[in-house]
Amino acid sequence: MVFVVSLVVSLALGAWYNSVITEQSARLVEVAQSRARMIEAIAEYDRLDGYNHDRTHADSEKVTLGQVASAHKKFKGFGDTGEFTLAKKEGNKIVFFLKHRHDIEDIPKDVVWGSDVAAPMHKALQGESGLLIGLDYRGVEVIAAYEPVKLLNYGLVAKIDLSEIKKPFIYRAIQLILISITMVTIAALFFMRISTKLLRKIEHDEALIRGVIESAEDLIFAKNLTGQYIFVNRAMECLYNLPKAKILGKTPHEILPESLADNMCLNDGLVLKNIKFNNLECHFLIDGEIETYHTNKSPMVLDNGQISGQIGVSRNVTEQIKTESSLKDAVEKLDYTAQKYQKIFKTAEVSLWDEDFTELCTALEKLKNKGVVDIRKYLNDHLSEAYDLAALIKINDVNDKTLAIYGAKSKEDFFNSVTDTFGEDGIHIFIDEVEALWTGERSFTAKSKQRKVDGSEIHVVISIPLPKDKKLLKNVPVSIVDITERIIFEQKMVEEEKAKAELEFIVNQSPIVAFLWKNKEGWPVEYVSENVSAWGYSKEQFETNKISFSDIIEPRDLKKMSEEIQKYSEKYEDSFTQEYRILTPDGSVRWIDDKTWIRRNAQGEITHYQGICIDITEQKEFERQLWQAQKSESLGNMAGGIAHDFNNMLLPIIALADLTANQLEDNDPIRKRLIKILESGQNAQELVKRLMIFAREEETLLKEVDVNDLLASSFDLLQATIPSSMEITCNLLEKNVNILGSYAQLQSVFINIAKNAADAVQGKNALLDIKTSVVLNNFPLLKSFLKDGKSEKYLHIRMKDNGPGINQKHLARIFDPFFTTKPVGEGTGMGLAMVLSIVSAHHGVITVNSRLNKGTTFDIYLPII
Amino acid sequence: MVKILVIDDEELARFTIREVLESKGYSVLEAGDGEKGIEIFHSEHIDLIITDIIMPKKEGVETIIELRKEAPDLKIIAISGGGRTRNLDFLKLAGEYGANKVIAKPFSATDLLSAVQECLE
Repeated sequence: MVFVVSLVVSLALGAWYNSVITEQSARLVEVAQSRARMIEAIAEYDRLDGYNHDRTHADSEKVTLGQVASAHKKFKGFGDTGEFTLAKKEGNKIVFFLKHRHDIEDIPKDVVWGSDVAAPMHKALQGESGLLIGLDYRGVEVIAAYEPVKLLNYGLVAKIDLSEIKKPFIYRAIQLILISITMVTIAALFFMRISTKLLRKIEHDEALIRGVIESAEDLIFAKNLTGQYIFVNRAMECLYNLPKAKILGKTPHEILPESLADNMCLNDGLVLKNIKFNNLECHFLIDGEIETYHTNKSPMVLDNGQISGQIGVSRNVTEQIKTESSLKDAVEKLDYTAQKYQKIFKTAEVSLWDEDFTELCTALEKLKNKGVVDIRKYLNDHLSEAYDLAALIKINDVNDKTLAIYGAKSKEDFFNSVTDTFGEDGIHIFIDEVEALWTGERSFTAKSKQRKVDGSEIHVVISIPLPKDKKLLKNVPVSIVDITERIIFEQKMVEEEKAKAELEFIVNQSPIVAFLWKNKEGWPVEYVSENVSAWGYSKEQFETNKISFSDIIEPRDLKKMSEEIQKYSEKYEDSFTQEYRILTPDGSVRWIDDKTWIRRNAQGEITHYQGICIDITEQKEFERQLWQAQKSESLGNMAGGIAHDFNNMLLPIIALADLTANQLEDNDPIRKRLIKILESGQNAQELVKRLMIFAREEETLLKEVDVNDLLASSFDLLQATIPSSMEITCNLLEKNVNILGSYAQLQSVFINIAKNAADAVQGKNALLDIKTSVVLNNFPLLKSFLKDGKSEKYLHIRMKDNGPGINQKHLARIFDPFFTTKPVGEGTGMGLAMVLSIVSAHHGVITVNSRLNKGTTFDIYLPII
Repeated sequence: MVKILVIDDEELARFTIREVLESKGYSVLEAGDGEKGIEIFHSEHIDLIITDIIMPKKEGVETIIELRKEAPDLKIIAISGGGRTRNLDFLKLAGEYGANKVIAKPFSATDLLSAVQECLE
């Protein structure tokens, strides 16, 4: 180390010294040459000047020397030892002329030509020019430049003591050597101190690296050129299941089956041609499982570039491959899921909007920081800000259903007109939404009336989940459901409800009673219209099942009705009509016309019957009267037709019997017979008359009739014609009235009714009570029979007997012409028919009521003028 | 002798009336309808005409109107069985158009004779 340092220092100093010497030499040469040329120039001048002054060369030489000496006096030399010397060879001596600085003597002593000293001056005086290191006139080693001064044959030397030049180098050399020794010593000490640690560290590191390599899970190996292992780590031992000693020095083919060995040696040839391979895939069967290894192979290259073998590292990537495979699966699954959700988004039956709330929420945060507390009030007060906030919501995407709902042809079409879809209430719904967001609600739902792209109205429900997590603000799924149909349906429902209520009102105002009864024993009622009150029952009585439908049916009609329903139900008819009677709470009987619909369930079973029932009692009575009238009319027509012929036929019977009888003696037996013929003919004539009255063949002339007078005369007539076994009572009107009528016909009415009563009673205590009164046209028993053109007041004549009564069957036919219960020959059946005809001709009403064993009552009502 | 013309389309009626009238000595002529009756009236001296109302060819009322035009003092008794038509009292109509008496069929011999007598008085 010291040597090296000294060498380096010496070399450095040597080089420096050389350069200094070269530099000094050049300076000396330059100085010597310039001074010599200058002296030559002065000598030349002096010589020329000498020509002008007739001076000799020797004198001129002296002048020149004098000038040089004079100039030289002030010259103090250069450095410590540098000076010029000027000399001339005189004989065998060298004579110096100039005073030199080494104060030995004023002018150096002459030197013997050819001596060792003044070597440079020798050279200069020999006419040479150059540089040398040699002894000067003092015998001191100098470096000197010598130059001849040719005109004067002098020599000039510029010199400096070599010692002066060497002195700093020697000093520096000593200094450097000392420093070097010190440094080397220090370095040696330091090196000594740390080299031990370094060595230990290197050893440790090597052990560590070896340990790492040995214990690495990767297979690490090195093979020589012939493919024999020269290094294997522990993992290789495990792989081969052999100790190192049995692996090293062997090729894989000596250890493994050929196919596996081939696998191991894959591309070995190429590696030895200096090609690196990464991730060569090899497979090994380990414990029955195929394990996959990725091998990196690279050549081992020596310093001289020769390849000595190869190094390989194999890594078991089975797990990695599995992991990658599962990762790939997961990614695929994720991709599938993403696609699935994308598909769901795209094909959802609900309008979905993917919206970005980030900017909106940021803006709301700012408002919060600004001190806004009540956002609703704030936005309502600053509506333009609300619109600005709404514009901050970015719509990322919408699905196909959205386009369908809003009638947009494409997304572009939709986005171009999306602001037109917001309804008039849009901004207020937006404010509600912002408030929900502001107050941290989890979701927001609102109904809104919006517009389609074409401007038509739609009703929608908007649902927005309001995310707490800021990350979710970027994709807020807003769903919009089109409820237009539902709204229209609801409106329709409301209208239908209204219509239903109106219908119910109409039904209740109408004479139609609507029933819905169940197909169960007794027909329990599920619904009945309120107007059932017209029958004297209440809706509630039926609907709380206090009364069932069958309870009100007249018992005589119930069986028939059940059979009818049964019949139509079996026929699978939808509806049928029937007439039946019902009983009212006051005991009266009403006729009902019922149209019944049969309701069935999905299985075809009858669940309900619904009926609309009309009270046709009055209509029935009217029909009866009409039927009566029609019957009477046809009979009248018939009677009119036969009366003429009949009268003609009776003429010979009556007239000839009368004639012949009168021509016979009173006691002639034939005369008696003829009288019987005459009487019988006259009876027939009477019958024809009655028929004609019935047929109104004989015009009824109605005149003003005094009622009390009529009653009085009729009473007298009755007393005369009715058997005395029947007591007749008759009252007169307190206040007499007039009616328009036929005296005779009205009398015949009384007589006919009285005769019937007398025939029926046939016994003692027979009684006929005639009561008369005046009633108004709203008299309960009368009003339902009156038609248009009715009078205000009516004369009511009630004729009541105490006979056996008439059964219902007969009572219904009592006014029929030719209807009689009397034996053949005793009654004509025209009496009451004529009575009805007369009363009708008087624009009156006649009714009959009868109770068995109690008697029969005729009520006659005649209009009062 | 009083001559009475009986106009009736019913042969039986004519026979009956003839029997009754002849029993009291009246001379009786017969006609089956109004036209025939008027023909006889023109050819014979007739004291009294008894005519039915409803007849074929010429109705009784029409016959009465014609006869009355020719012989305002002629005695006419209208007889009718009525019927057939409603609301029209042909007998009453006959009276209004000039029949001296009207009798509804059927009538007794007594009724007819008293009516004839009344007319002839």
